[in-house]
Amino acid sequence: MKAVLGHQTQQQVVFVGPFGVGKTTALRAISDIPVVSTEVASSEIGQLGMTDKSTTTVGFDYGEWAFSDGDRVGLFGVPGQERFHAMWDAVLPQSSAVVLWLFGDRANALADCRFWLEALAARNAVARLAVALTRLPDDVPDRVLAPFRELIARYHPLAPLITADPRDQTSVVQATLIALATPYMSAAATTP
Amino acid sequence: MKVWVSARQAPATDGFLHALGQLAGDCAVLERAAEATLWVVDGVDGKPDASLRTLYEQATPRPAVAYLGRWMSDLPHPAWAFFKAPLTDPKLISLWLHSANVQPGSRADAGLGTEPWRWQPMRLSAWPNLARFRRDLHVITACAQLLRAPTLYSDLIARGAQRDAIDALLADAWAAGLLQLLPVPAAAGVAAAPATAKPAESPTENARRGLVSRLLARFSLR
Repeated sequence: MKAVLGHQTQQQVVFVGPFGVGKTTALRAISDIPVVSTEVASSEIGQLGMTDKSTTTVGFDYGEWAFSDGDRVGLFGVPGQERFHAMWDAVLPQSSAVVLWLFGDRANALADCRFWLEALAARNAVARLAVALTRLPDDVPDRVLAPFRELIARYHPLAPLITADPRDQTSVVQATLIALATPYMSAAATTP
Repeated sequence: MKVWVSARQAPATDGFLHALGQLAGDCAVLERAAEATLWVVDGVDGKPDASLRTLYEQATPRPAVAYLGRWMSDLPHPAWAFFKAPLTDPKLISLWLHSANVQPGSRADAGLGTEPWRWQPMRLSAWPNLARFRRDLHVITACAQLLRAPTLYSDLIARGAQRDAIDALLADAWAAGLLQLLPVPAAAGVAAAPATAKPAESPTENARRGLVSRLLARFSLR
């Protein structure tokens, strides 16, 4: 932990999203260093019927991009459960980009999306946001994405929405790049 | 595109054809002027032969003619478009082609392509789903530019994205209703939009853009 707190990265990229969506996996796919993880066995996993997952993040995950000139970019994965919102308050305000990972194949995906957007808007973090829907094919029809697009536009008219796979490096890099490249809008302009 | 050039080896002509190819795809340079739909007449090293003017006036239909020269007063025919050599802004070719009153049918005959976004300024109303474009991460910066301001096709190509990827992206965005085409007069604003018209960006925004460039250099698959 000392290594994380003892230095300052100039920029930070933050992954947020619900429990089990793949934030830690995404971080591992792109980090230059071994990801510092605070995962523990979770009793909630069995209740949610997740058979391919046995742990959850309780603090935050940390990785880095390191450049040849010495610059470093901090990569944070913050826990999904509401009881960890203090962690959000510590990390989100300084972020250069935020990727919100959501389950695209769940019946309550849209309600989930609204919940997370509200939480991000409360922390002025929608201005540099990309929303990544997992577990959907790349060629998903636009009509499937349209309700999400409409909802997200209420918080940030230009916020990007893509389908992505947290296990795939190119997919994660693309989601992060899109969040970084999206035209900035001030907090005033993005309040729903 | 069927093109005839008056001076094949001239540097100004080479530059013009390169920009034209970037914009409209492969150009077939023909031997016979009468068979071409576009002429590139090089006047940098002296005025072209007077018979060229006669040939032009007898042509049916008349070709679109780009005259490359140093001074506009040297323009041999009032219907020809003057391009000051060397051409420094490929946008001018795009604007000229659009304003040359070429019907879409004859554009297709000439192999010029009929996609409306090739000839007009455009912008995106929202991000398309870029999942299908992971092979070319430069498409991301093209989208960001199209979200920020009206942009010409030639500008997108100049930013480093692959033409095929840009074509597919624009076709997708058009089909999804996310691509807005703007009237050509707005293009004058686009072309003329100088850096001074842009609001100053915060250091934070500059840093974000800088990071995008670094990540593109690192992760680009090309």
